[in-house]
Amino acid sequence: MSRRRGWLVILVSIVALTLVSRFLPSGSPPIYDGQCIANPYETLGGAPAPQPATKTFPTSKTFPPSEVLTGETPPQAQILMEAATFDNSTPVTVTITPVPAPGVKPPNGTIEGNVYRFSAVNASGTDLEPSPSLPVFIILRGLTSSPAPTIDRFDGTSWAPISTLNAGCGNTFEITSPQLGEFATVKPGSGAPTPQPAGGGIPAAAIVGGLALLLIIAVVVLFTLDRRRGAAR
Amino acid sequence: MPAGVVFAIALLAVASAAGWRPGRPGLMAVGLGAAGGGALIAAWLLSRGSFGIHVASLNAGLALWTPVVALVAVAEEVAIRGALFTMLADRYGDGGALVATTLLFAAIHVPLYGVGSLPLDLAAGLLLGGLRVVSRGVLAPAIAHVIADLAGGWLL
Repeated sequence: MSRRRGWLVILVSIVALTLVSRFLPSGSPPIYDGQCIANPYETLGGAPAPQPATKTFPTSKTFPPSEVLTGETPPQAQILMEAATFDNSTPVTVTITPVPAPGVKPPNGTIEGNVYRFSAVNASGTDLEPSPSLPVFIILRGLTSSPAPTIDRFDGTSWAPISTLNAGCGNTFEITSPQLGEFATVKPGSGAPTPQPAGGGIPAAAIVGGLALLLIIAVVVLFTLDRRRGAAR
Repeated sequence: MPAGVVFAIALLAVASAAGWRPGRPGLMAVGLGAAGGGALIAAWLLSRGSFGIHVASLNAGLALWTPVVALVAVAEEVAIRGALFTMLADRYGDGGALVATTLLFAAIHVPLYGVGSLPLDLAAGLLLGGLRVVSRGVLAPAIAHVIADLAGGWLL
């Protein structure tokens, strides 16, 4: 293949990447991989208990780009905020708290995992919302990635699904939201609430087994080709 | 994390046993790799619907994660678009090698990310394969792959 055709391949792949990324269905995975360490999911009421997280940002001219995340591996709840997301003329405290699920059921499925309340308050205790032009990124860990869950927001009376991306490691999912509040991952479909077992995702044994199988296939192919190449010489 | 190191070493051993040896690095390959990594990051930002990013603060987990992820990415490139691509290209030409390695690249990500990862990883594999064809070596796709993978941990 000539270099010119190689450039054509690159061009086609960039178009494909753009289209796939733009029109990725809800819950699709990221392009990035890496080594994922995922401890069992910690359920509210279980032991060990899921961890809350809080961070206070001292008075500043501009609220800094920042993240607040719970202490599990991977974090079960995270919020990422861009610069100037909140009015930082007084100290701002951002808090993530696992809370009991409200009695209202989501319209699009069943809650799996914990419900997390994301809040921000100023020094006088007044609730803050993100600047209208700067939605926050909310990342929650679910229990499974297939079928892909959505993240829903509870506004105090009902749940609403939000366009959700798969954030990768340990069944983590991501949304952007212009509002704080209560969020949970929701498994699509109706029916009784699913039990909330510890752990989640693809068993490590299946991953290791799959990789080992692929490695064996690669070894066989490589050595077969090498032998044929040697015989042809 | 240790499983990643073992996996990477196994891939490098297989590539070495198959006769793969590193070529001489060139500036063009470095530039191509950096541009390819940029394209992969741009696609990720597009999928997020926001181009607002910031760099994660350094912590012990990220400090350990970074070299392991880089090692795995390089090992995948050496094995797939180094040793395997060269052997397949000898027999089936660059086109056949490109198709086979792109399919394999997408397949090895299924155990971790599920079948839904196939479209994106096929496109990413095609881009990395294109870099391999244009640069005639593994350095450009390896740089692009490392940049893209590290972005997943360092850019928020």
